[in-house]
Amino acid sequence: MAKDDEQVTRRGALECMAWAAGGLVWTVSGGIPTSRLLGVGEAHAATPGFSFVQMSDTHVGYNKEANPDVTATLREAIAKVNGLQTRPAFVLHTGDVTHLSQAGSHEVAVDVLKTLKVDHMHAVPGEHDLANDGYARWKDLWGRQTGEKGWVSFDQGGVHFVGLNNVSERSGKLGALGTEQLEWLEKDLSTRSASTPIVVFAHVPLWSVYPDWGWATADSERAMTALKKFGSVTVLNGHIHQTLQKVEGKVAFHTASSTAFPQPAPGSTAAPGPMTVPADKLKSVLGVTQVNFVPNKGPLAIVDHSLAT
Amino acid sequence: MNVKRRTLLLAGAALVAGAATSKAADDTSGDKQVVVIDNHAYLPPDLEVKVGTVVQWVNQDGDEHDVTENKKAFRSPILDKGEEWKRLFDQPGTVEYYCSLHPHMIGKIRVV
Repeated sequence: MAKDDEQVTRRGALECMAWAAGGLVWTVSGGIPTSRLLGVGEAHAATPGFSFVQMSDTHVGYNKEANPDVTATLREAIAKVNGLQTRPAFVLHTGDVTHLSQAGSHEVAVDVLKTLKVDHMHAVPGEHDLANDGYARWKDLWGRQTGEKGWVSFDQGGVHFVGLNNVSERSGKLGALGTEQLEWLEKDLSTRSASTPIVVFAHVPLWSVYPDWGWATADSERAMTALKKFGSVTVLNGHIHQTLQKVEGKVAFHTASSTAFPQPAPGSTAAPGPMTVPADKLKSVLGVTQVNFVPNKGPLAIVDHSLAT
Repeated sequence: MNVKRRTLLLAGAALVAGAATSKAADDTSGDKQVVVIDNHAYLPPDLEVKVGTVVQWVNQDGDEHDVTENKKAFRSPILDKGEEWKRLFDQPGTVEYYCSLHPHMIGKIRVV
């Protein structure tokens, strides 16, 4: 890990930076991923295992009414992560690093995110990462640990992680995983025992949050079928800029907040998109949801959280 | 494959598929129709035009959008609020498109 005062190159920073998020800190203990608030309950964080952080929808470059300074709120999120008593092992970024892959926005993102204190980051693309033919740029800067098409798997501490790309293909009105990726996923999972804890992360929700707004993945059912044999599956998504949770059998679905701006609740307005709230309320809607975990006892419990706390 | 042969094959494929062709519209001559983008929708979502019509998309939404042909035969720049983009439809057929940032937004141009 780079020290605070260490001179690092941009590439070096990306390879060894401290990545984290204004979001959930995930702890894996006894093979079961749990999550909690950033900056909350840290005195109780010293459990065996490891932790990681999910970051999503940082949208660096966005500067409209919903949040004219997304870099500032991102810095606040980073400060929270860097203040954790238990350092996360890594960060999962679930997409939309920049708003439109505009010139200069990736450079700003690098400069800010390199101040995070974790060993590395795993990322999957969001549809905004593909804007302005931006995939190659995203891949070079943020997705170097993924395969050519933006999906990845790796193991850490007995947990198998799978990152999926559900923004490069589409079916009807929804993004899709596509046959090639699904076949890869099925092969990847076939070598794992049913007792292996699985964490899946992707940008757009893999569960049907609100298809009319594109908040679902067209062919996720086949992916969920491949995950059925496992006793513990946690699915982490972003895209909708708010925290939601659903548990179906042995699968726990979570969506994370953005560090940039909120979006309306599913179906609550005529359309999705950046939602403007009073300036003094912004941090309260950029935060995330606390997930309280009772080891080995039932589903996770979620409590609203915000950067304002 | 040389360029001429490839062009012929592509043209043949388009004829077999009955697809309309279109091109960038640099002038304002001929018929013009407008598709308004607002509230994450193309309005109208299904537009019938005559051959030779220039279709102009005008983004009135607070969110950015684009116009991407389903098979990526063309894609507009990302349009911010107040920005517009136009394209000439010079062959009969149907062109379907969507917003690459918001795939739930879809539209259709039927050229007759």
